[in-house]
Amino acid sequence: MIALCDQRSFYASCESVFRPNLRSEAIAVLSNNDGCIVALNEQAKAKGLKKFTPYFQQQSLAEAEQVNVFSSNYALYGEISRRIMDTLRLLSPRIEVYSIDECFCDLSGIDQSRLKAFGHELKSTIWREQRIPMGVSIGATKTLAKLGQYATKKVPQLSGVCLLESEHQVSWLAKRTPVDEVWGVGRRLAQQLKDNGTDTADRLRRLPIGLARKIGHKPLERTVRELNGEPCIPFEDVAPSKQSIVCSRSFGTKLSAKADIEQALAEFTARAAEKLRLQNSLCQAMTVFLMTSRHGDVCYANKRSIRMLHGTSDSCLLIKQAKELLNQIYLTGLSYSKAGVELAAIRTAGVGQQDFWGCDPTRSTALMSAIDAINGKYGKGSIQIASQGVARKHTMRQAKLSPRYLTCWHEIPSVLC
Amino acid sequence: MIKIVAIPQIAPQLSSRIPIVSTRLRCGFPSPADDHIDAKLDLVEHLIKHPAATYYARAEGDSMSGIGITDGDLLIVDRSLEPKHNDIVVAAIDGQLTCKILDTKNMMLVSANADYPPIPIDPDGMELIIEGVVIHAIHHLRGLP
Repeated sequence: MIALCDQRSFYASCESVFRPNLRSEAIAVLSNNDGCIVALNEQAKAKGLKKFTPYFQQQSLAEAEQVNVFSSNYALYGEISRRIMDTLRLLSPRIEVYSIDECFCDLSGIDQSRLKAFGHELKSTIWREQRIPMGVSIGATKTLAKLGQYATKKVPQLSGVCLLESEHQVSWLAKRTPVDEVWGVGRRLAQQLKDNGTDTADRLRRLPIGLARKIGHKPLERTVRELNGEPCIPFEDVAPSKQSIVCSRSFGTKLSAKADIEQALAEFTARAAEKLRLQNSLCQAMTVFLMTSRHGDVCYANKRSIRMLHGTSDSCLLIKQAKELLNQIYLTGLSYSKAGVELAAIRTAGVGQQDFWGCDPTRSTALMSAIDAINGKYGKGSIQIASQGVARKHTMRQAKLSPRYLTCWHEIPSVLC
Repeated sequence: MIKIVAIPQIAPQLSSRIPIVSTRLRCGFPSPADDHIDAKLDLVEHLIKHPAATYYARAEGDSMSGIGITDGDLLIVDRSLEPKHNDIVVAAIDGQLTCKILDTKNMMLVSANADYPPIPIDPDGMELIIEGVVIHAIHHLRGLP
């Protein structure tokens, strides 16, 4: 059996870990640049706030209802997530980290009669040690475990733990679950299925395999089989290396000077290169993109890619390359709202053709390792490539940022004595 | 018949470069301690048994001075431990993280300073308000690091 552990309203819950007074209050978390609402706890939903809507449209409601609003504090959320996954890893034989707030646990070897108690144990341990509420749903396949999660949210009597053991339980729940809630069924596929009269998870379960393949090819066939208890999606306890790394941001204020955009791009490129080195890889292709706001008078968006002769993870080289690509797509006189860089054609370092005519990569590798080591020890941005700039115009708006309670000595919580 | 001829050197090398061995050669007597080098002492590992459940906090105020916790001390708090009688705990009192001595016999949170009266707690709500057991308090003798 497989358990899915889902942290409830994760970003919002993180904000109350070191502020117990907020646990019963409404909390909303904003996206990068404080643009949209991305997370709401139950109390905030009850006040009528909506997720994925621009904050300025809901600001007056949030203020009137005294909702506690926060900018995204990824340093905090990332560290709490890491601690939760570490705790779950200690408690279960194997885990697969699925996202920042979701994790599959392989429960094979745990006695059938103990499964429900085990689910409660996972939940109560995470609450006690991390102060994050969690829902646990257990099923024969990943897709069934996901289906159970819908029940933990909608059926309060389950108190957050749902075990799908019998055919009766699965079909009871599947009949009450709309088809768009099934894992792997996207919005378009859901519409297509509904048009065919397949509007619930139960109807999808009963779809003949051949028909499923015709509508949604192999992936939908897999979903149907998984809904019937046949495991098709493998358990990935080792995260596969990323095949492409994207770093892009909306600018805090619109930028038009080329130098400012170059600086932002240099920063994004350095970040992406750092991630590339972290997974011990090289990239051989790069794309740079640039766009104006979609709501402005002039809409412009463009991108340009290059394939390099040799793989690299050298920030200096990649930044130089990014600037050349920017040259080809930058137009003067526009105000841009977003830019980004994608590194692709990624492979493991140490495997592949060496550059015969180019310079020896040993020196660049040593320099990059030194930069990563210094930033690892003294904090991000302690040392950087000069073109990343010092006074940054492109930085995010984070007006309502909470302290980095777990990752910065100056921001650890105060305890009244 | 095979005829053997000497092949003349095309570009006679005038100077040959000798590669320098980059590893340092050891001269002298090897250290007798070499075989006995232990891992360095790791203070964090020594003090913290449940790293995923442990957080650091800064003490603020003088209510715990009687047991040696003073303003500015670094507290190491473990949420995974079962709070016992006489443990120093962090509790959520009126939503505020507060450091007190847990008295389970009288169900009270007690200060280590006569100026602060004890706070009674509801036995059913104990699990809700204990935010961890203080396992170490580090007092900075030459100011904050």
